[in-house]
Amino acid sequence: MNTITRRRTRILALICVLSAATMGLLYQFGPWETPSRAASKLLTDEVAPDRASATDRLISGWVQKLKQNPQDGDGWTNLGEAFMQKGRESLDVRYYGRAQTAFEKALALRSTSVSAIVGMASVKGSRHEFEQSIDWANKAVALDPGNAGVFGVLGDAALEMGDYEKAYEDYQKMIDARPDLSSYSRGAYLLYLTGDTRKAIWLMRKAIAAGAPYAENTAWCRAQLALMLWGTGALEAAEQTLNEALERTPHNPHLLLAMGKVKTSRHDYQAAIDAYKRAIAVAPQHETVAALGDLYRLLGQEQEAQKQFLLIEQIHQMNKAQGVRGDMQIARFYADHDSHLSEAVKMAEEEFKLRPNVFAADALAWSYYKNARYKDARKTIAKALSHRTPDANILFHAGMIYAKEGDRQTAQKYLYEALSLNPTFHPVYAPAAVDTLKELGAEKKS
Amino acid sequence: MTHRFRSGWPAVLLLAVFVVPHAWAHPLGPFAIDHYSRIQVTRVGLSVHYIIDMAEVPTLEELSNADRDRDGKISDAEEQDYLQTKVRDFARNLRIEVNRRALEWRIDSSSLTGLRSNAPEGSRSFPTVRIVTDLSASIPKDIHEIKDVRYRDENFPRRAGWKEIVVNPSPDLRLTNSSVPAEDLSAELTRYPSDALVAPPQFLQAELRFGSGIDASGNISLPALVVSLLTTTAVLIARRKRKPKRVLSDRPQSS
Repeated sequence: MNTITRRRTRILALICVLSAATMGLLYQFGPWETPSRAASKLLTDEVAPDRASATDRLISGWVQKLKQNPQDGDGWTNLGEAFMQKGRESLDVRYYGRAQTAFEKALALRSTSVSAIVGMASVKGSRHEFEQSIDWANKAVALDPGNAGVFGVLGDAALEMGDYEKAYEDYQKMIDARPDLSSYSRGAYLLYLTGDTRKAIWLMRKAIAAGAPYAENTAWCRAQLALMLWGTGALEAAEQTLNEALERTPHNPHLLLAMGKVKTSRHDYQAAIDAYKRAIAVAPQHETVAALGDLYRLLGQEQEAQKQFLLIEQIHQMNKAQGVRGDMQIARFYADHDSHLSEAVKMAEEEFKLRPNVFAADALAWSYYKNARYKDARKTIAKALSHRTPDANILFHAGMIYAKEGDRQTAQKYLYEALSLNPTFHPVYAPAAVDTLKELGAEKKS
Repeated sequence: MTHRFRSGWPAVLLLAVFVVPHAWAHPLGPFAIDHYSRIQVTRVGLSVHYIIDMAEVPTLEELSNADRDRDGKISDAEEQDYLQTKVRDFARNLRIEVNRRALEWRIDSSSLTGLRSNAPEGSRSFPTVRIVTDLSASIPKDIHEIKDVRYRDENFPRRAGWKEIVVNPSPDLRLTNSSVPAEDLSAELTRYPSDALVAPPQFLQAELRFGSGIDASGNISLPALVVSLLTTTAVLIARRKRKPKRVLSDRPQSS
């Protein structure tokens, strides 16, 4: 009897254990939703993260859709565009690589997808690979001559190459096809570059009013608008624009950089340092780090200044080791700080040959000046001045070059122009312009 | 040249982006700071395995912070000082709450690589700092049941990077809801998947809810109930079976 009971209890226990296990397995893997499964399903790329930006949510949305249907070509294009936007927002170039992968997937599904082709053109443009960008863009134009995005990409490349006539044509086509923030803001920037500040400011305001799906887009336009206002001496208006914009996007590095410049002009150096530091905490851009270093130096905090300059120098060495060639910003930085002057000329020449735009011409002319090659400097600064770009730095450089060349009148004219455009264009160079004007005036008297 | 843009019709908001040229925004170089947290919660305490991995630009910034005597070299003492300061800062900026009550971290261990580059002179590789630390916190005695845990990483706010939080399964608690996954995507920031469908995670906070057969909303889940009832029955039956065994073994003694 005992053995039978024992066997029976054993079987009963086994059944219980088995059914418990089955229930457990069913619970975990059955067709219904369980909390733990819900948790494990929350793959990072599938769920909108906490405090996710609109862009992050967009990315997760497309990732989820594409996981269900990887054959959705438009889905891949949309994901690529969302990655591009994320790259712009975070300034993290790694997103361009992901965007490219997404566009390539779209093209593998349909090689004639115009938006994916424009996407490729845009990736290449972001990486400053303008020749490839133009190649892709031309493919898109051949397929769809009415696509607005492609003219934006083509115009951007023309702008970088200093071909402003071509940029005008492309941007006009873009505005015709799609009058919105993207096309207006591009047009506005070009108008500014070619000397029509009044109209540029009007069009940039129009761009901001048109609005955009991402806060970063309008923030960028407001930063540009503020820089135009600041660049033409309208400090009050510039600061107001920035204050309004920073209320919406308080950590946008472009806005903070512009605010640093405005505060520097107002001699509120502590506020300027704060703005630059906040911008650097988000994304250390060359211009911000250099401006912060200059301010520290001006205030006699040489150790802090050296820290910033060393960072720029070391990163430049790293980029050089990795095969990055001519760099206009570094050339300008070296010229400004009287260091590596022959390297500065070499880099600026290389840059100007590749992209003969106004700012490359200015950087090259300034590098020649610092190397005492005044004739070359004068020839080159003429190119920087040829579009009447309302940038006090270019005018200041021109004034200094003409002063060295002994052309007192022209020098005075440019220095006056620089100071009347924006009397506080630079914490060091604006006073230097004043001093040079005094010296030139004294020369006249003597 | 006089140009005038013909402005067209009022703008239509389109989702297709290609907004604003960005060729003028130049980050200095690789500047991302990647975050990784692996959280584990048990009845007695919480722990987090926390990693910060910096790209070249922040590494260079840190180097100049760590080099106190500015001799261009990082000594053992400077490295230790730097690590301790950093880990203390990290711990302070990692907020943790159990049942909405804030707890303090204990630093159990910490290590650092990359501050002193072993790369030979003129090498193409540049140092990148990686700091790994293990933190823990005890559950206060008066918290008898852990209902929810909130975690927030406030280190390097708004700096771009891979921001991953994973939650380990708890041996003695049932996780009923989690805002972060259990799956590690990057093998602790050592292998980043290049698949376009794995977007860099952007998690900086996690919310975990726990229950024992009772889910977050207070309902007893049916499967959990059945499983526990069946298991209890099985245990009871198994125990019953031991009784005759004892009787049998007693027999020779009694006879």
